[in-house]
Amino acid sequence: MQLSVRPGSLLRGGGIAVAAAFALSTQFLFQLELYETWPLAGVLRGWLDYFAEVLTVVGIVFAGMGFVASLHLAPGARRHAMFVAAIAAGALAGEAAVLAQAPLPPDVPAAGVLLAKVARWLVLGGLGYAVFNLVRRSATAASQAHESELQRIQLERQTAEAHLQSLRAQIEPHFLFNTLANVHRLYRTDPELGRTMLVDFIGYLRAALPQMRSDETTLGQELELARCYLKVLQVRMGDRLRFQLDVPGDLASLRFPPLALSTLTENAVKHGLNPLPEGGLIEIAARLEGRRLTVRVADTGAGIRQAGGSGVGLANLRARLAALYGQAASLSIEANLPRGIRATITVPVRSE
Amino acid sequence: MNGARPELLLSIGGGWLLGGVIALLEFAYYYPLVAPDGAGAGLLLSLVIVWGGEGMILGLAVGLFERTVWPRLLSVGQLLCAVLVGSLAGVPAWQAFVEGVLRDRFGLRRLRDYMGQPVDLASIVFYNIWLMLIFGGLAAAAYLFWQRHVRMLAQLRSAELAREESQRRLAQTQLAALRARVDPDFLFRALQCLERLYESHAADADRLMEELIAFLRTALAEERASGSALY
Repeated sequence: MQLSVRPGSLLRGGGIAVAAAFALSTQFLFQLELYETWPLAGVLRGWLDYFAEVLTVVGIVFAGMGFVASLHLAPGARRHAMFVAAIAAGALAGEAAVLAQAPLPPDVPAAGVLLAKVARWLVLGGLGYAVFNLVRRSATAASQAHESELQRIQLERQTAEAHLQSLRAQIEPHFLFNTLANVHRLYRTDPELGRTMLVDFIGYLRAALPQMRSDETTLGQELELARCYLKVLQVRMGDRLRFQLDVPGDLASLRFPPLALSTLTENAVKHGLNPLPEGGLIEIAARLEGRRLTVRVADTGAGIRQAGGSGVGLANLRARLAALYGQAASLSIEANLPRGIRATITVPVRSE
Repeated sequence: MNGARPELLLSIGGGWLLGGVIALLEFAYYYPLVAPDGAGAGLLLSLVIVWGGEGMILGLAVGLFERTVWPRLLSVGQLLCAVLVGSLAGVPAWQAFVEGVLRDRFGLRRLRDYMGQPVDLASIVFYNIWLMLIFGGLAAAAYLFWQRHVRMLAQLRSAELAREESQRRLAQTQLAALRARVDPDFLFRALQCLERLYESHAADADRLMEELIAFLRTALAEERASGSALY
C-alpha cells in the first residue's frame, strides 16, 4: 500500500475544511433565543467554541477522506463507498471527541444524539462529496471533449490535404489515353510528328510532377504546365487549337494554387473548342491589381450553353480555393463576347 | 436529460424530498430529547410537513429561476439567488401558513409544542432559514453540477462521434487517393524509355506502347469501378 499526499492537495483540503467548518458554525448565530439570555460577547464566545467543535469534526472527517484518497484506489463504486465510510467514521470519531469534552446532561441518551449527528454529517458530507466529484468529472469531460474536437479539426485538415493530394496526383485519363493512342498511331504514319508529340507529353509530365508533390506552386510553373498541355493537344488538333499567353514575366514567381490554371485550360479545350469543327482561340492572361492576382482563361468556343460536363471540376476548384484562401479568393465564369467562356481566378498575393 | 425542459413539478418534488431528509435528521436528533411517550409519529409527521413545505418552496424557486434562463444552465450566482430567495422568503411564508392555517385545522402539533419550554416562532424561522440555506444550497449545487455533468458527457459523446466520423472519412479519402494514383514517376520513366526505344527498335516500342495503353486502361477502369474517381 503506497501512501502519498501532495502538499498542494493537503493545503487545499485544509482550506476547504476550515471554510466548511466556518459556514456550518454560523448555525450557532441563528439561534435567536441566545441573544435574549446572553450578552453579545457571550454569544460570540459561544460561537467560537462551537466553531472549534465543528472544526474538530470536519478536520477528522477530512483526514479520513485524505487517507482514502492517498490509497489511490481504482475509480468506481468501491472508492465512493470508501469515501462515504470515511465520512461516517470521521464524524463518529469527531462527535465522540466533542462529547467527551462537553458531556450531555445525564438524562439525554448519548448514543441516540451521536447517531443523529452522524446521520446529519453523512447527508452534508455526501452532498459535498457529490458536488466535488461532479465538478471534477465535468472538468475532465470538458477537457476530453475539447481534446476530441482538436483531433477532429486535425483530421479534417488531413482529409482536405489527402483530397487535394489525390486531385493533384491524377493526370486526366482522357488526355492520357488520347495522347498515347495518338503517339502510337503517329509513329506508324508520321514518326517525326509522333516523336514531337511524345517529347511534348514528356515535357508536360516533367512540368506536372513538381505540382503533384507540392502544396503551392508559382504562376510560372502553372503556366508552363498549361503551355505543355496545349502544345501536346496542338499536335492532335492542329489549327483547330490556337493559344496566346499574356503573362508579364515579373508575375511568374507569384504563388498560385496548384493545378488551378490546368483545370481551366482543360475545360476550355474539352468543353469550349473540342465540340466546334473550326476550333478556336484560347487566351491566358494574368494581371496584378494591387494585392490581388487575377488570371483569366478565355476561349472562343461553344460557350456556356453548350458546355457539357457536370461542373464537378469547377466545384472542386472552388472548394480548393476556399480551403486555401477562404473568402479572399474567387472564381467567376462568364460569357466571352462575342462567343465562348471567360473564367477568372482572383487570389490574394501573399507577402512571403 | 439534455434538451428536456426543466419540469417545475420535478424541482418541487425534489425540494420536498430534501425537506423530508432534513425532517428525518431533525427527528432523529430531537426525538430522544423531547418526545413524550407515543408521540413519535405525530412529531415526525409535523416535521415532514414543515420541512417538506419549506423544501418545496426552495425547489420552486430554483425551478422558476431555471425557467427564466432556459436553455442555458443556471450559473452559480443565479443558483445562489434562487436558494436565497427560496430560503429567506419561503421559510417565513411556509411557517406562517403552517401556524395560521394547518395548525388549527388539523390539530397538527409542532416541534415547539413538544418542547418543555416555550419557543419563539421567530427563532424557529431563523433556525430553519439557516438549515435551508446550508442543506438547500448544497443540494441545489449538487443538482446543478449533476446537470452540467450530464450535459458535458453528452457533449463529449457527440465530439467523440464527430471525431470517429472524421477518422473514417480520412481513411476513405486516403484510400481513394491511393487508388486514383497513376504513378506519374512510372509513367514519366516509361515514356522516356519508349522515346529512346522508338529511335532504335520501333517495332518493340510499338508493342510496348500497346501494352502500356492496355495496362493503363485496366488500372483506370478499376479506379472508376471503385467509385473513387474524383471528376
